[in-house]
Amino acid sequence: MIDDAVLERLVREAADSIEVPAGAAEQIVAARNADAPPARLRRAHRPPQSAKPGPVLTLAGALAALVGLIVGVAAVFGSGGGGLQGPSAPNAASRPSPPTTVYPDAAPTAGVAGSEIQSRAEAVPGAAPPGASRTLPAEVIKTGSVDLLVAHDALQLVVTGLARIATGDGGFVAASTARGDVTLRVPAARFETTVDQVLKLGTPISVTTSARDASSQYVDLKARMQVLLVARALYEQILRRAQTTDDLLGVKSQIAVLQGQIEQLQGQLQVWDDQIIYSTLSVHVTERAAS
Amino acid sequence: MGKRGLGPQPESDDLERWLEQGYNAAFRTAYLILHNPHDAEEAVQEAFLRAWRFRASVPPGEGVRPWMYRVVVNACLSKLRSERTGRERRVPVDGESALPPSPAPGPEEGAESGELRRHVVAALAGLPEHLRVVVVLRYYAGLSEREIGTVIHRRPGTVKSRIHEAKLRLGTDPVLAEYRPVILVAAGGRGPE
Repeated sequence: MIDDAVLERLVREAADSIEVPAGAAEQIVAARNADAPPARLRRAHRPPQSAKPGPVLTLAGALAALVGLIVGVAAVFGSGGGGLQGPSAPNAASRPSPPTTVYPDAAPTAGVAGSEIQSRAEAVPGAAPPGASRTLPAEVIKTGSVDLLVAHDALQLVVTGLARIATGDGGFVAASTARGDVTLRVPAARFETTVDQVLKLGTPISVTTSARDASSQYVDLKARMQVLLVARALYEQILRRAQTTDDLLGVKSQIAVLQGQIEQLQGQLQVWDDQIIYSTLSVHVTERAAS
Repeated sequence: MGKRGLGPQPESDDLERWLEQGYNAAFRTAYLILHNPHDAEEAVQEAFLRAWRFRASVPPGEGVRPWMYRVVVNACLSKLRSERTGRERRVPVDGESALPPSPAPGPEEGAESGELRRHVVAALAGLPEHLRVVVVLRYYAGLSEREIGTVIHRRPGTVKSRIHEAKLRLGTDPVLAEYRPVILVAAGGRGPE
Protein backbone atom coordinates (compact mmCIF):
# COMPACT_ATOMS: atom_id res chain seq x y z
CA MET A 1 0.00 0.00 0.00
CA ILE A 2 1.28 3.42 -0.89
CA ASP A 3 2.57 5.54 1.98
CA ASP A 4 0.50 8.47 3.25
CA ALA A 5 3.28 11.04 3.01
CA VAL A 6 4.32 9.84 -0.42
CA LEU A 7 0.80 9.98 -1.74
CA GLU A 8 0.30 13.44 -0.32
CA ARG A 9 3.44 14.69 -1.96
CA LEU A 10 2.62 13.10 -5.28
CA VAL A 11 -0.93 14.43 -5.35
CA ARG A 12 0.05 17.91 -4.30
CA GLU A 13 2.89 18.18 -6.77
CA ALA A 14 0.64 16.93 -9.52
CA ALA A 15 -2.08 19.37 -8.50
CA ASP A 16 0.30 22.29 -8.27
CA SER A 17 1.45 21.63 -11.81
CA ILE A 18 -2.09 22.06 -13.09
CA GLU A 19 -2.38 25.33 -14.91
CA VAL A 20 -5.23 27.51 -13.74
CA PRO A 21 -7.12 29.18 -16.60
CA ALA A 22 -6.41 32.88 -16.93
CA GLY A 23 -9.35 35.23 -16.58
CA ALA A 24 -11.68 32.60 -15.17
CA ALA A 25 -12.18 34.44 -11.90
CA GLU A 26 -13.08 37.62 -13.79
CA GLN A 27 -15.68 35.69 -15.75
CA ILE A 28 -17.27 34.51 -12.53
CA VAL A 29 -17.52 38.09 -11.32
CA ALA A 30 -19.02 39.08 -14.67
CA ALA A 31 -21.51 36.22 -14.44
CA ARG A 32 -22.46 37.32 -10.94
CA ASN A 33 -22.96 40.88 -12.14
CA ALA A 34 -25.02 39.73 -15.09
CA ASP A 35 -26.84 37.15 -12.98
CA ALA A 36 -26.35 34.73 -15.85
CA PRO A 37 -25.70 31.01 -15.59
CA PRO A 38 -21.95 30.55 -15.81
CA ALA A 39 -22.19 27.72 -18.26
CA ARG A 40 -23.49 30.07 -20.90
CA LEU A 41 -20.33 32.08 -20.67
CA ARG A 42 -18.18 29.05 -21.12
CA ARG A 43 -19.97 27.24 -23.88
CA ALA A 44 -18.31 29.28 -26.56
CA HIS A 45 -14.90 28.21 -25.28
CA ARG A 46 -15.64 24.52 -25.38
CA PRO A 47 -14.32 22.56 -28.32
CA PRO A 48 -16.95 21.41 -30.79
CA GLN A 49 -18.63 18.19 -29.85
CA SER A 50 -18.27 15.26 -32.12
CA ALA A 51 -21.34 14.48 -34.20
CA LYS A 52 -20.76 10.82 -33.53
CA PRO A 53 -23.08 9.49 -30.82
CA GLY A 54 -21.16 8.97 -27.61
CA PRO A 55 -21.06 5.80 -25.60
CA VAL A 56 -23.65 7.11 -23.18
CA LEU A 57 -26.11 7.66 -25.99
CA THR A 58 -25.46 4.15 -27.10
CA LEU A 59 -26.11 3.05 -23.54
CA ALA A 60 -29.37 5.00 -23.55
CA GLY A 61 -30.39 3.09 -26.66
CA ALA A 62 -29.48 -0.15 -25.00
CA LEU A 63 -31.53 0.79 -21.97
CA ALA A 64 -34.47 1.66 -24.18
CA ALA A 65 -34.16 -1.77 -25.74
CA LEU A 66 -33.97 -3.21 -22.23
CA VAL A 67 -37.26 -1.52 -21.37
CA GLY A 68 -38.91 -3.16 -24.34
CA LEU A 69 -37.46 -6.48 -23.36
CA ILE A 70 -38.50 -6.09 -19.75
CA VAL A 71 -42.01 -5.05 -20.66
CA GLY A 72 -42.25 -8.14 -22.81
CA VAL A 73 -40.90 -10.36 -20.09
CA ALA A 74 -43.22 -8.77 -17.54
CA ALA A 75 -46.16 -9.47 -19.79
CA VAL A 76 -45.12 -13.09 -20.19
CA PHE A 77 -44.73 -13.60 -16.47
CA GLY A 78 -47.81 -11.58 -15.61
CA SER A 79 -46.02 -9.18 -13.28
CA GLY A 80 -48.73 -6.58 -13.67
CA GLY A 81 -46.13 -3.86 -14.28
CA GLY A 82 -46.08 -2.80 -10.66
CA GLY A 83 -42.41 -1.96 -10.81
CA LEU A 84 -43.08 0.91 -13.11
CA GLN A 85 -45.42 2.70 -10.80
CA GLY A 86 -43.25 3.45 -7.83
CA PRO A 87 -44.72 4.23 -4.45
CA SER A 88 -47.85 6.25 -4.11
CA ALA A 89 -47.63 10.01 -3.91
CA PRO A 90 -47.23 11.45 -0.46
CA ASN A 91 -49.86 13.46 1.29
CA ALA A 92 -49.33 17.17 0.84
CA ALA A 93 -49.18 17.60 4.57
CA SER A 94 -46.31 15.13 4.83
CA ARG A 95 -43.77 17.42 3.21
CA PRO A 96 -40.53 17.33 5.18
CA SER A 97 -39.93 20.24 7.48
CA PRO A 98 -38.15 23.16 5.87
CA PRO A 99 -34.41 22.99 6.37
CA THR A 100 -32.80 25.43 8.72
CA THR A 101 -29.77 25.80 6.47
CA VAL A 102 -29.36 25.77 2.74
CA TYR A 103 -26.86 23.56 1.00
CA PRO A 104 -26.32 24.70 -2.55
CA ASP A 105 -26.88 21.66 -4.70
CA ALA A 106 -26.60 19.44 -1.67
CA ALA A 107 -25.34 15.98 -2.39
CA PRO A 108 -28.23 13.62 -2.81
CA THR A 109 -29.41 10.52 -0.98
CA ALA A 110 -27.32 10.63 2.17
CA GLY A 111 -29.25 10.73 5.35
CA VAL A 112 -32.63 10.65 3.66
CA ALA A 113 -34.85 7.64 3.82
CA GLY A 114 -35.15 5.98 0.46
CA SER A 115 -38.92 5.81 0.62
CA GLU A 116 -39.09 9.50 1.31
CA ILE A 117 -36.86 10.32 -1.62
CA GLN A 118 -38.86 7.99 -3.78
CA SER A 119 -42.07 9.66 -2.75
CA ARG A 120 -40.73 13.07 -3.63
CA ALA A 121 -39.14 11.87 -6.82
CA GLU A 122 -42.36 10.31 -7.92
CA ALA A 123 -44.51 13.15 -6.66
CA VAL A 124 -47.56 14.02 -8.70
CA PRO A 125 -48.98 17.54 -9.03
CA GLY A 126 -51.52 16.86 -6.34
CA ALA A 127 -48.75 16.28 -3.86
CA ALA A 128 -47.27 19.72 -4.33
CA PRO A 129 -47.80 22.28 -1.60
CA PRO A 130 -50.45 24.96 -1.93
CA GLY A 131 -49.45 27.45 -4.58
CA ALA A 132 -46.59 25.33 -5.86
CA SER A 133 -45.63 25.40 -9.49
CA ARG A 134 -46.06 21.79 -10.58
CA THR A 135 -48.88 22.87 -12.87
CA LEU A 136 -46.54 25.07 -14.90
CA PRO A 137 -46.12 23.92 -18.49
CA ALA A 138 -42.38 23.47 -17.95
CA GLU A 139 -40.07 22.58 -15.11
CA VAL A 140 -38.71 25.99 -14.29
CA ILE A 141 -36.22 26.88 -11.60
CA LYS A 142 -36.72 30.44 -10.42
CA THR A 143 -34.23 32.35 -8.33
CA GLY A 144 -33.84 35.95 -7.38
CA SER A 145 -31.80 38.39 -5.35
CA VAL A 146 -32.89 41.64 -3.74
CA ASP A 147 -30.83 44.28 -1.96
CA LEU A 148 -33.00 46.41 0.28
CA LEU A 149 -32.18 49.66 2.03
CA VAL A 150 -34.31 50.21 5.14
CA ALA A 151 -34.63 52.80 7.88
CA HIS A 152 -32.16 52.92 10.74
CA ASP A 153 -32.96 50.35 13.43
CA ALA A 154 -35.55 48.70 11.18
CA LEU A 155 -33.48 45.63 10.33
CA GLN A 156 -35.17 43.25 12.74
CA LEU A 157 -38.59 44.54 11.80
CA VAL A 158 -37.92 43.99 8.11
CA VAL A 159 -36.49 40.53 8.68
CA THR A 160 -39.64 39.64 10.58
CA GLY A 161 -41.67 41.06 7.72
CA LEU A 162 -39.75 38.90 5.24
CA ALA A 163 -40.53 35.80 7.27
CA ARG A 164 -44.19 36.79 7.38
CA ILE A 165 -44.28 37.25 3.60
CA ALA A 166 -42.62 33.89 3.00
CA THR A 167 -44.92 31.96 5.29
CA GLY A 168 -47.93 33.87 4.02
CA ASP A 169 -47.08 32.73 0.51
CA GLY A 170 -46.75 29.11 1.59
CA GLY A 171 -42.99 29.21 1.88
CA PHE A 172 -40.43 29.44 4.62
CA VAL A 173 -37.21 31.12 5.70
CA ALA A 174 -34.38 28.82 4.69
CA ALA A 175 -31.62 30.88 6.28
CA SER A 176 -31.22 34.13 8.10
CA THR A 177 -28.31 35.97 9.63
CA ALA A 178 -28.09 38.82 12.07
CA ARG A 179 -26.40 40.85 9.34
CA GLY A 180 -29.57 40.96 7.29
CA ASP A 181 -29.02 38.14 4.80
CA VAL A 182 -32.25 36.23 4.48
CA THR A 183 -32.97 33.37 2.11
CA LEU A 184 -36.62 32.75 1.39
CA ARG A 185 -38.07 29.65 -0.29
CA VAL A 186 -41.52 30.15 -1.70
CA PRO A 187 -43.75 28.11 -4.02
CA ALA A 188 -42.78 28.95 -7.57
CA ALA A 189 -46.26 30.13 -8.48
CA ARG A 190 -45.99 32.76 -5.75
CA PHE A 191 -42.47 33.86 -6.55
CA GLU A 192 -43.30 37.08 -8.40
CA THR A 193 -45.85 38.07 -5.76
CA THR A 194 -43.29 37.46 -3.08
CA VAL A 195 -40.73 39.64 -4.83
CA ASP A 196 -43.29 42.45 -5.17
CA GLN A 197 -44.11 42.28 -1.46
CA VAL A 198 -40.46 42.19 -0.46
CA LEU A 199 -39.70 45.30 -2.51
CA LYS A 200 -42.32 47.22 -0.52
CA LEU A 201 -40.42 46.67 2.72
CA GLY A 202 -37.71 49.17 1.83
CA THR A 203 -35.91 50.97 -0.94
CA PRO A 204 -34.69 48.45 -3.52
CA ILE A 205 -31.04 48.92 -4.40
CA SER A 206 -30.88 46.05 -6.82
CA VAL A 207 -33.29 43.37 -7.97
CA THR A 208 -32.40 40.41 -10.12
CA THR A 209 -34.54 37.41 -10.99
CA SER A 210 -33.98 34.50 -13.32
CA ALA A 211 -35.93 31.50 -14.55
CA ARG A 212 -34.24 28.44 -16.00
CA ASP A 213 -36.15 25.83 -17.93
CA ALA A 214 -35.00 22.44 -16.64
CA SER A 215 -37.65 20.37 -18.42
CA SER A 216 -35.35 18.33 -20.60
CA GLN A 217 -33.00 17.34 -17.78
CA TYR A 218 -35.92 16.57 -15.50
CA VAL A 219 -37.72 14.39 -18.02
CA ASP A 220 -34.48 12.61 -18.80
CA LEU A 221 -33.91 11.82 -15.14
CA LYS A 222 -37.44 10.50 -14.76
CA ALA A 223 -37.01 8.29 -17.81
CA ARG A 224 -33.75 6.90 -16.51
CA MET A 225 -35.39 6.24 -13.17
CA GLN A 226 -38.17 4.24 -14.79
CA VAL A 227 -35.71 2.15 -16.75
CA LEU A 228 -33.79 1.34 -13.58
CA LEU A 229 -36.94 0.50 -11.63
CA VAL A 230 -38.03 -1.88 -14.35
CA ALA A 231 -34.60 -3.49 -14.47
CA ARG A 232 -34.59 -3.96 -10.71
CA ALA A 233 -38.05 -5.53 -10.81
CA LEU A 234 -36.84 -7.96 -13.43
CA TYR A 235 -33.81 -8.97 -11.39
CA GLU A 236 -36.02 -9.44 -8.35
CA GLN A 237 -38.12 -11.85 -10.35
CA ILE A 238 -35.00 -13.71 -11.39
CA LEU A 239 -33.80 -13.75 -7.79
CA ARG A 240 -36.90 -15.61 -6.68
CA ARG A 241 -36.10 -18.37 -9.17
CA ALA A 242 -32.39 -18.64 -8.43
CA GLN A 243 -31.41 -22.27 -7.90
CA THR A 244 -27.76 -22.09 -6.88
CA THR A 245 -25.79 -19.98 -4.45
CA ASP A 246 -23.75 -18.54 -7.30
CA ASP A 247 -26.90 -17.45 -9.09
CA LEU A 248 -28.25 -15.97 -5.89
CA LEU A 249 -25.12 -13.95 -5.20
CA GLY A 250 -24.77 -12.82 -8.79
CA VAL A 251 -28.33 -11.55 -9.02
CA LYS A 252 -28.14 -9.92 -5.61
CA SER A 253 -25.01 -8.12 -6.71
CA GLN A 254 -26.80 -6.80 -9.80
CA ILE A 255 -29.73 -5.65 -7.67
CA ALA A 256 -27.35 -3.86 -5.33
CA VAL A 257 -25.75 -2.01 -8.24
CA LEU A 258 -29.14 -1.02 -9.59
CA GLN A 259 -30.29 0.04 -6.14
CA GLY A 260 -27.29 2.33 -5.83
CA GLN A 261 -28.05 3.91 -9.19
CA ILE A 262 -31.71 4.29 -8.28
CA GLU A 263 -30.89 5.99 -5.00
CA GLN A 264 -28.50 8.34 -6.75
CA LEU A 265 -31.17 9.30 -9.26
CA GLN A 266 -33.74 9.67 -6.49
CA GLY A 267 -31.42 12.11 -4.79
CA GLN A 268 -31.02 14.10 -7.98
CA LEU A 269 -34.74 14.15 -8.55
CA GLN A 270 -35.26 15.30 -4.99
CA VAL A 271 -32.92 18.21 -5.57
CA TRP A 272 -34.66 19.08 -8.84
CA ASP A 273 -38.08 18.80 -7.22
CA ASP A 274 -37.01 21.03 -4.40
CA GLN A 275 -35.61 23.67 -6.71
CA ILE A 276 -38.58 23.56 -9.06
CA ILE A 277 -41.33 23.55 -6.46
CA TYR A 278 -39.73 26.15 -4.26
CA SER A 279 -38.14 29.24 -5.77
CA THR A 280 -35.28 30.85 -3.90
CA LEU A 281 -35.12 34.53 -3.12
CA SER A 282 -32.00 35.90 -1.45
CA VAL A 283 -32.60 39.19 0.32
CA HIS A 284 -29.90 41.41 1.72
CA VAL A 285 -31.17 44.10 4.07
CA THR A 286 -29.07 47.15 4.84
CA GLU A 287 -29.97 49.78 7.39
CA ARG A 288 -29.54 53.47 6.64
CA ALA A 289 -26.97 55.20 8.77
CA ALA A 290 -28.30 57.09 11.78
CA SER A 291 -28.95 60.73 10.92
CA MET B 1 -1.07 17.62 6.74
CA GLY B 2 -1.21 21.12 5.31
CA LYS B 3 -4.52 22.56 4.28
CA ARG B 4 -5.28 24.16 0.97
CA GLY B 5 -6.95 27.54 1.10
CA LEU B 6 -10.46 27.36 -0.24
CA GLY B 7 -13.06 29.78 0.92
CA PRO B 8 -12.78 32.99 2.85
CA GLN B 9 -14.37 33.94 6.10
CA PRO B 10 -18.14 33.68 5.83
CA GLU B 11 -18.42 37.32 6.82
CA SER B 12 -16.72 38.39 3.62
CA ASP B 13 -19.08 40.02 1.17
CA ASP B 14 -16.45 40.45 -1.51
CA LEU B 15 -16.68 37.85 -4.27
CA GLU B 16 -13.41 39.00 -5.75
CA ARG B 17 -11.71 38.22 -2.45
CA TRP B 18 -13.36 34.80 -2.33
CA LEU B 19 -11.96 34.07 -5.76
CA GLU B 20 -8.55 35.44 -4.95
CA GLN B 21 -8.32 33.17 -1.91
CA GLY B 22 -9.91 30.05 -3.26
CA TYR B 23 -10.09 29.83 -7.05
CA ASN B 24 -6.80 28.07 -7.70
CA ALA B 25 -7.38 25.38 -5.09
CA ALA B 26 -10.97 24.94 -6.24
CA PHE B 27 -9.98 24.58 -9.88
CA ARG B 28 -7.25 22.07 -9.13
CA THR B 29 -9.59 20.08 -6.91
CA ALA B 30 -12.18 20.03 -9.68
CA TYR B 31 -9.59 19.11 -12.29
CA LEU B 32 -8.34 16.17 -10.25
CA ILE B 33 -11.91 14.92 -9.90
CA LEU B 34 -13.09 15.61 -13.45
CA HIS B 35 -9.85 15.24 -15.42
CA ASN B 36 -11.00 17.82 -17.91
CA PRO B 37 -10.11 21.52 -17.77
CA HIS B 38 -13.31 22.76 -19.39
CA ASP B 39 -15.56 20.80 -17.08
CA ALA B 40 -13.44 21.81 -14.10
CA GLU B 41 -13.71 25.46 -15.05
CA GLU B 42 -17.46 25.24 -15.46
CA ALA B 43 -17.90 23.34 -12.23
CA VAL B 44 -15.88 25.88 -10.28
CA GLN B 45 -17.76 28.77 -11.83
CA GLU B 46 -21.03 27.19 -10.86
CA ALA B 47 -19.74 26.38 -7.40
CA PHE B 48 -18.57 29.89 -6.65
CA LEU B 49 -21.76 31.46 -7.88
CA ARG B 50 -23.85 29.05 -5.85
CA ALA B 51 -21.71 29.57 -2.79
CA TRP B 52 -21.95 33.30 -3.27
CA ARG B 53 -25.72 33.15 -3.61
CA PHE B 54 -26.04 31.05 -0.48
CA ARG B 55 -23.20 32.60 1.45
CA ALA B 56 -25.45 33.28 4.40
CA SER B 57 -26.10 29.60 4.87
CA VAL B 58 -22.83 28.21 6.12
CA PRO B 59 -24.02 25.68 8.67
CA PRO B 60 -23.08 26.67 12.19
CA GLY B 61 -20.10 24.76 13.48
CA GLU B 62 -19.22 23.23 10.13
CA GLY B 63 -16.69 25.80 8.98
CA VAL B 64 -16.47 27.52 5.65
CA ARG B 65 -13.70 25.33 4.17
CA PRO B 66 -15.60 22.03 4.21
CA TRP B 67 -18.68 23.91 3.10
CA MET B 68 -16.89 25.39 0.10
CA TYR B 69 -15.36 22.05 -0.78
CA ARG B 70 -18.80 20.55 -0.48
CA VAL B 71 -20.14 23.04 -3.02
CA VAL B 72 -17.21 22.41 -5.37
CA VAL B 73 -17.43 18.62 -5.04
CA ASN B 74 -21.19 18.70 -5.59
CA ALA B 75 -20.68 20.76 -8.73
CA CYS B 76 -18.12 18.21 -9.92
CA LEU B 77 -20.40 15.27 -9.16
CA SER B 78 -23.17 17.05 -11.00
CA LYS B 79 -20.83 17.33 -13.99
CA LEU B 80 -20.05 13.66 -13.81
CA ARG B 81 -23.75 12.86 -13.71
CA SER B 82 -24.32 15.09 -16.73
CA GLU B 83 -21.57 13.21 -18.47
CA ARG B 84 -23.33 9.96 -17.77
CA THR B 85 -26.50 11.28 -19.36
CA GLY B 86 -24.55 11.84 -22.56
CA ARG B 87 -24.89 15.59 -22.60
CA GLU B 88 -21.28 16.38 -21.98
CA ARG B 89 -17.96 14.83 -22.73
CA ARG B 90 -15.40 14.59 -19.97
CA VAL B 91 -12.38 12.98 -21.51
CA PRO B 92 -10.12 15.68 -22.90
CA VAL B 93 -9.25 15.54 -26.56
CA ASP B 94 -5.69 15.79 -27.83
CA GLY B 95 -3.99 18.94 -26.66
CA GLU B 96 -6.61 19.59 -24.01
CA SER B 97 -5.02 19.39 -20.64
CA ALA B 98 -4.43 21.70 -17.74
CA LEU B 99 -1.06 20.10 -17.24
CA PRO B 100 1.95 21.68 -18.94
CA PRO B 101 2.27 19.89 -22.26
CA SER B 102 6.03 19.61 -22.26
CA PRO B 103 7.74 20.15 -18.95
CA ALA B 104 10.95 22.01 -19.58
CA PRO B 105 13.85 20.24 -17.93
CA GLY B 106 15.65 22.50 -15.51
CA PRO B 107 18.27 22.16 -12.86
CA GLU B 108 15.75 21.08 -10.28
CA GLU B 109 13.11 19.51 -12.42
CA GLY B 110 13.59 17.05 -15.20
CA ALA B 111 11.21 15.59 -17.69
CA GLU B 112 10.73 12.66 -15.35
CA SER B 113 8.99 14.90 -12.81
CA GLY B 114 6.55 16.13 -15.40
CA GLU B 115 5.84 12.61 -16.54
CA LEU B 116 5.33 11.51 -12.95
CA ARG B 117 2.83 14.28 -12.34
CA ARG B 118 0.91 13.33 -15.45
CA HIS B 119 0.99 9.75 -14.30
CA VAL B 120 -0.37 10.71 -10.88
CA VAL B 121 -3.24 12.66 -12.43
CA ALA B 122 -3.99 9.75 -14.73
CA ALA B 123 -3.83 7.30 -11.84
CA LEU B 124 -6.30 9.39 -9.87
CA ALA B 125 -8.57 9.57 -12.90
CA GLY B 126 -8.47 5.79 -13.01
CA LEU B 127 -9.90 5.48 -9.54
CA PRO B 128 -13.64 5.04 -9.10
CA GLU B 129 -15.40 8.32 -8.47
CA HIS B 130 -16.10 7.68 -4.78
CA LEU B 131 -12.45 6.89 -4.10
CA ARG B 132 -11.07 9.69 -6.26
CA VAL B 133 -13.04 12.32 -4.37
CA VAL B 134 -11.79 11.27 -0.94
CA VAL B 135 -8.19 11.04 -2.13
CA VAL B 136 -8.31 14.54 -3.58
CA LEU B 137 -9.96 15.97 -0.49
CA ARG B 138 -7.53 14.20 1.82
CA TYR B 139 -4.20 14.54 0.05
CA TYR B 140 -4.63 17.71 -1.94
CA ALA B 141 -7.15 19.72 0.08
CA GLY B 142 -5.80 18.38 3.36
CA LEU B 143 -9.22 17.88 4.91
CA SER B 144 -9.57 15.58 7.90
CA GLU B 145 -11.62 12.41 7.68
CA ARG B 146 -14.36 14.08 9.66
CA GLU B 147 -14.37 17.09 7.33
CA ILE B 148 -14.45 14.85 4.27
CA GLY B 149 -17.36 13.00 5.82
CA THR B 150 -19.16 16.32 6.08
CA VAL B 151 -18.43 17.08 2.45
CA ILE B 152 -19.62 13.77 1.04
CA HIS B 153 -22.27 12.97 3.63
CA ARG B 154 -20.57 9.86 4.93
CA ARG B 155 -19.29 8.76 8.32
CA PRO B 156 -15.59 9.27 9.08
CA GLY B 157 -15.22 5.49 9.24
CA THR B 158 -16.50 5.19 5.68
CA VAL B 159 -14.08 7.90 4.60
CA LYS B 160 -11.25 6.05 6.27
CA SER B 161 -12.06 2.79 4.56
CA ARG B 162 -12.33 4.52 1.19
CA ILE B 163 -8.95 6.15 1.67
CA HIS B 164 -7.53 2.77 2.60
CA GLU B 165 -8.98 1.15 -0.50
CA ALA B 166 -7.70 3.97 -2.70
CA LYS B 167 -4.21 3.61 -1.27
CA LEU B 168 -4.30 -0.11 -1.89
CA ARG B 169 -5.30 0.46 -5.50
CA LEU B 170 -2.76 3.19 -6.09
CA GLY B 171 -0.12 0.99 -4.45
CA THR B 172 -0.55 -1.55 -7.24
CA ASP B 173 0.56 1.04 -9.78
CA PRO B 174 4.19 0.17 -10.52
CA VAL B 175 5.26 3.77 -11.09
CA LEU B 176 3.72 5.06 -7.88
CA ALA B 177 4.90 2.04 -5.92
CA GLU B 178 8.49 2.72 -6.96
CA TYR B 179 8.37 6.30 -5.79
CA ARG B 180 10.53 6.42 -2.70
CA PRO B 181 10.07 8.61 0.38
CA VAL B 182 13.79 9.43 0.29
CA ILE B 183 12.99 11.98 -2.44
CA LEU B 184 10.37 13.43 -0.14
CA VAL B 185 12.94 14.01 2.57
CA ALA B 186 15.34 15.63 0.12
CA ALA B 187 12.69 17.97 -1.24
CA GLY B 188 11.14 18.96 2.08
CA GLY B 189 7.50 19.35 3.04
CA ARG B 190 4.95 21.78 1.73
CA GLY B 191 2.92 24.25 3.64
CA PRO B 192 -0.53 25.55 2.93
CA GLU B 193 -1.03 27.59 -0.18
